[in-house]
Amino acid sequence: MISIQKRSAVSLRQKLPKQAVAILAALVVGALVILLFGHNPLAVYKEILSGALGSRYSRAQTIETLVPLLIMALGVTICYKIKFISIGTEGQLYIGAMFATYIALHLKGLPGPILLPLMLLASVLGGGLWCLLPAFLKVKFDTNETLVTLMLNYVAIKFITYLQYGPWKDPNVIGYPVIPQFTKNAILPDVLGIHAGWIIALALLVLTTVMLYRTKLGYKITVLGENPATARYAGFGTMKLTLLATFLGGGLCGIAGFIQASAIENSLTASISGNLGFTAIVVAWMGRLKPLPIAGFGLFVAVLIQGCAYLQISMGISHFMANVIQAIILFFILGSDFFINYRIAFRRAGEVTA
Amino acid sequence: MPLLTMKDICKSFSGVYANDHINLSIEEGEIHALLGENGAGKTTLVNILYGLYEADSGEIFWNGEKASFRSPADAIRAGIGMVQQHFSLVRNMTVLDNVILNLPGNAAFLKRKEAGEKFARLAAAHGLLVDPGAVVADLTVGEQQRVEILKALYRNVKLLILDEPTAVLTPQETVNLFQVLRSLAGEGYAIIIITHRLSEIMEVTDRVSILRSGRKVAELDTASTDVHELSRHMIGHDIDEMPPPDIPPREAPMLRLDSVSLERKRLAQPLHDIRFSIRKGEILGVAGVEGNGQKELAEVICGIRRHTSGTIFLEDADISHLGVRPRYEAGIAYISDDRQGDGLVPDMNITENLALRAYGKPPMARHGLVDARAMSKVAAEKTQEYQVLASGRSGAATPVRLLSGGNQQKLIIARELEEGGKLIVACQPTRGLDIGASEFVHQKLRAWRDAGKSVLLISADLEEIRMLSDRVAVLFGGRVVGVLTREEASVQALGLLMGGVTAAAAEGAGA
Ligand SMILES: Nc1ncnc2c1ncn2[C@@H]1O[C@H](COP(=O)(O)OP(=O)(O)OP(=O)(O)O)[C@@H](O)[C@H]1O
Ligand SMILES: [Mg+2]
Repeated sequence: MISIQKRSAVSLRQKLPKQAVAILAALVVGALVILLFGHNPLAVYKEILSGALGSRYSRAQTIETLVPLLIMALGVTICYKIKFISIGTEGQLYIGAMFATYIALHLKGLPGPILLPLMLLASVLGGGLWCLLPAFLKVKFDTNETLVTLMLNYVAIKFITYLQYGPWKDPNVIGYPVIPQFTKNAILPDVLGIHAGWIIALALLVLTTVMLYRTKLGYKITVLGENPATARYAGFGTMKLTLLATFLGGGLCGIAGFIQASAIENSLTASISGNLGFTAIVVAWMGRLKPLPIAGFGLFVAVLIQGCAYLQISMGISHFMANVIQAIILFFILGSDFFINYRIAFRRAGEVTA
Repeated sequence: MPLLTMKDICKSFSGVYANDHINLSIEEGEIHALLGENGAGKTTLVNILYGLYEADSGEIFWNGEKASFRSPADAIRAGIGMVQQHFSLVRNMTVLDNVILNLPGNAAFLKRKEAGEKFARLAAAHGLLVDPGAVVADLTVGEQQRVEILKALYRNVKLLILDEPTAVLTPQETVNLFQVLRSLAGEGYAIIIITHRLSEIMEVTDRVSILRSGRKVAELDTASTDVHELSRHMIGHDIDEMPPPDIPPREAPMLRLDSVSLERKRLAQPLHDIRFSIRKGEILGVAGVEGNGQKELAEVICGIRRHTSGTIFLEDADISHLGVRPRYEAGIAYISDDRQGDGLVPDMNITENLALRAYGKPPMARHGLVDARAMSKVAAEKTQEYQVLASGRSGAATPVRLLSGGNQQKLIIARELEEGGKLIVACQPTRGLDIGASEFVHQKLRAWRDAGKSVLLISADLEEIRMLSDRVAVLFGGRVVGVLTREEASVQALGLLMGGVTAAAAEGAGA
């Protein structure tokens, strides 16, 4: 008989090798799959690394993948901390990007140093509101936030498409419907060869860490997530707190949208997320909702994504296959979480003595 | 041959022994008590027996054969059942479904009819009355406990472990439980019971094992011992009789409830037209069978629930419209009776739990930032003063779910008895505390009162109420059915009121 038992306490000493083992196991299984596809695993891994980190250009690409990934992972982390299980990162990214785009298109006369902060604020507002809506429905009508946030992703993306084909269509481009390109003052400048989004991501990493561990708000968020009854007992104003935390979480995802639209696409399209929103959720769980580990795993995943994308060019491996490799590695790392927190006991049925 | 023998059981948590070479043996038909201070290792010992913990060393013999239980399923299969300090029922399932949940013999389709018959037989045979069709969430704590016992009996256990079963029971329910236990013992069941109440040990058990700091210091025949000897073994000295309160309360009221009602749909127990006042320097006891509005009353006073009509005054100021936080700032503190439910955050550590009230003010916080060092300092002082015992090296960084039940309780009390408070609503403040710690808390409440502050003491323990209170109010069906002075509050008088028999009704019946 097999039974699953929760471990009483997990020490760091127990945890570290397991996480190392998990990554190793993931690489081994990944290697088997690569073999199955008829390639040399070592060569593939080497290409992944060099594709992601081998040149100045590829390093910049990797960082540019990491930026939205990290910001959105921090955003959902705030939501998850209060047990608001949102999978609405994508939608919040798009609505944030949409708000920023509105500013970019309508106030393009403003100089960059004023316009860009305005766009940033607008994106926070957009993403925040898009997350506030399901939170409001949850506290008022006890709806399931996971379902609602998932639906709102589709609503957001379809709405962007609508804008693209309808009201925001660039009249100067004939034939293909697009939203107008941003003017130069609405595009994030490069700093040290990479768009300035990395500075924003770094700042948000510090701010989120401080907020969660050093502020009254962070303390209240932790208590609310761990035991809502105690939060009520202490008079934290749990409804307001829920709304505030979800607004912040959504707001962060909105910022990722602003960065993608402004720095990467220089416009708004229905594909600026590159599915990074869902990957960010994986990263948040891998980092166990702690900002620094999230940044670490975020980098790992960014390397993986960037390196796998490069495989197509360097080794002619189709990007579907690259995706499979990527997914298997992520799956194994998440799965290790289970083995870190639970142990499996094997026993014959009916056996009493051991 | 004893039914169960535990030999040289050792268990340590991060280097500190919770069980240190403990020996225990139990015969069929024996009721055996485990007694000891908070954190002495009682729960740990029974958890090892029940397969929840693995002993570091030592042996268990069951029916004379060496056994090791690696999970509760193992223990149950062998014939050992346990009713834990915190119940493990599925709240929104029916009683019957809870009982047959996860039975080894369950096929894909449940045979509810058959199960229902067996359930009814067991319930009737042992006087454990519960409605098998009721949903667990709607049951009183006493009824839930009966379900837990039935669940064990249904699985044909031979040994039943009860961890502080009476802590949550009313006096009447305790009497019933003891009848059940005696009848079970009469049929050959063995029973291990943990309790802090010496009188209960004297009343129902055959033998007593006393633990102190993880060691077994004595095993006695109940028939040939008395409470004084028990307490000497347990805390090293005799219990002190408490002096009666001396300083009379002042005249000025601290808290006044003026026809306060709480009447909403889907409320377990509404409150109707509550009027009473607590003076400064007074302890007002609230007696009543649990579930007659105690929790609701406490929460209405603290602002966790908003009353639907009437007015609440604190020192003549209307606080009806204030929320929890402002009421706390105004001086109302609250010792909750549900430590895992709302009193504590089990997965956060001692320091963080102690900060729950004061986290927002200097010295703990400045300009929105919290000061971890200041928090730790407060935690160190409080755990020292209230003797909150955390095992192992992690000290104040220990998650509170790893503390023993009594130590969790001390933590809530340490947090709520703050300098600036005026009124403390104390719900079952000594539930689960050993006699030494209970005495300490009683002293604290008295000192609080003697400083001109007030206490609303809600307790199921009539002895405690009578010992501490200046006056006693009795709750029945969400109403205050009487307020007695200290002299009037005899056990009989309180008992009648708690059963809903008011003076007027009694006279009516007599006439
Ligand atoms: N899982 C655990 N991890 C760390 N320490 C633990 C754990 N379980 C119990 N302890 C510690 O072991 C000691 C004994 O705890 P135990 O719960 O057995 O006490 P107890 O006698 O039941 O006390 P109480 O009367 O307060 O319930 C305590 O100091 C407690 O903090
Ligand atoms: Mg205990």
